[in-house]
Order: sequence, then C-alpha cells, then structure tokens
Amino acid sequence: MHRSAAELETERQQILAAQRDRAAFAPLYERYVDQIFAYAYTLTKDKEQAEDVTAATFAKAIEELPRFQWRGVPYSAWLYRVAGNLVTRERRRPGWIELEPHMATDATDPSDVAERMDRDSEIRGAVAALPADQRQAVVMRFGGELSCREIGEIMGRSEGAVKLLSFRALTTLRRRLGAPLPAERGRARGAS
Amino acid sequence: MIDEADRLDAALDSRPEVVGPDLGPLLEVAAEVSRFLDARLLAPHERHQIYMRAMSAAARQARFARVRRALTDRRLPAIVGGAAVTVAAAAAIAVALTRDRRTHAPSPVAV
Repeated sequence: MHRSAAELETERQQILAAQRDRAAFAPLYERYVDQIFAYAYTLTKDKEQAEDVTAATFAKAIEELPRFQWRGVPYSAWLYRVAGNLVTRERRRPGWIELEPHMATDATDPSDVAERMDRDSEIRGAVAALPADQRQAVVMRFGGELSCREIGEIMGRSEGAVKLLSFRALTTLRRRLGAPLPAERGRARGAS
Repeated sequence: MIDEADRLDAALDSRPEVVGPDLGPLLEVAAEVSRFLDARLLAPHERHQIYMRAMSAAARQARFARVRRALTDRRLPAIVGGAAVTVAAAAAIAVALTRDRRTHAPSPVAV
C-alpha cells in the first residue's frame, strides 16, 4: 500500500525535472489527475465542480512548482490538501455522485465484464453511503496510496483516528458488499 | 477496536502476518475497493481538457503576478517620477520655443 523508497525517489526526480522544465510536469499530472478528480468528486457531489477543482488544483501545482520543497512524502499529499482547501474555500458541501469510470477491465468474457460492472456499481454505492470523513479516508488510503499519517495531516486528524476511520469504513463496506467476486479473492490473496 | 485498527493498518502496509483470520475479510474488501478506485475515472479527452485549463490558468496567474510585482516594485515611483519630469521639461521647452518664435517674428514689411 505504501510507496517504496525507490518510488518516492522517482517521484522526487520527476518533480525536479518539472521544476527545470514545465513540460516535464505531464507525467505527474497523468499519475494523479484521476485521484484528485475522485477526491474532489467525493467532496463536491458534482462532476463539473470536481473538474473545476481538479483544474484549479493542478494550476496551483504548476504555479507553485518553483517553490515546491520535497519533504519525502508523496506529491499527492500536497495535491489532496490543495484540492481540499479549494473545496472548503468555495464552501461546497461533502457528498458523492454517481461515477461512471472509463476503466479498462481485464475481463474479456462479456458475462465477466457485466458481472464486474454490476459489482463496481455496488462498490460505488457502498462507498457513497459511507459518512463523509470515512469516505475521504477511504479515497485517500485506497485510491491515493497515502499512509494514515499523511491522510491525518490532510484531514487535520490524528494517525490513530484515520486508522479507526479506515477500519470502520472497511467493516461497513464488508457488511454491505459481502464476499468479493472469485477473481477478486484471488487478487486479494495474491496481494497478501 | 484500536488494536484491530492497528493490525489492519499494518496488514495493509504489506505485513499480512499481523492479521488474524478475523481481519481477512476486511483485507479482501480493501483489495476490491483499491481496484475500483485505481480505475481511470476521466476519459483521455477530459484529462487533456483539464490539463489545458490548468496550464492556461497557471499562465494567467503568472502574468498577474508579474504585473503585481511591477506595481509593488520600489523602482516604479522613480520611473513614473522620472517620466513625469521628462514630459514636463519637454512641455516647458516647447512653450519657450513657441514664445521665442512669437517674440522674434519678422517685422511686417511696410508697403
């Protein structure tokens, strides 16, 4: 779940390259745009607003790039904080709307694809139904690969509080979703 | 619950040995949610559009910043003052020349 030291070093190099040449910012953007959009989406409840917040977040990122100082945490932590501040500043209320991901599925059998889409719809509904703070924690923990400490800094909560939020969220999700699809079970076992 | 939350967090950070069978189902659902959230949410053209908006907003902001810096620049009053003095001097010279021309105008020829 956490970034390895090598991954963080690669990211540091990407930031240094972008500081030298703005065109080199593109890989960082490509890596994080969907995460920031998903986070903004969970906060704004509106696709257009989420796009506005995402664009404003990256505009700020580009603007601040010359002054950005690497602190050994994923760049996304800074982006999440900016996106959250932008939403707060515009006084938008937390929420969630239907997401229709343009995702590439590895399933080729039409029935598998249909099954996966149904399952995704269930997951989307279950995540949407979580309380706002649990939803934010889940999006950053499992979509943004941030540690509880990093999420805590962004949300203004302690590391322990974020662990509890994640734990409660996963407990609720498991209760609502039940056991995963067989393919997912294999994936989870492979990961652990 | 705090202990369970700690063990789950450690297991999520690639230390599955700390999780007991009680937390296994939560790891499964975590993997499923991760897969769901990892999916691309924006179409390529939407990503491109947002990128272009971000770039142009950043460029606009940079222009504003340059103007703001120029306005707050300490040299600005000196530059404006210098320009004003130059204009005033030029005007004074022009007036003096005009008067001089009138004073030394050729006398009308008696017919």
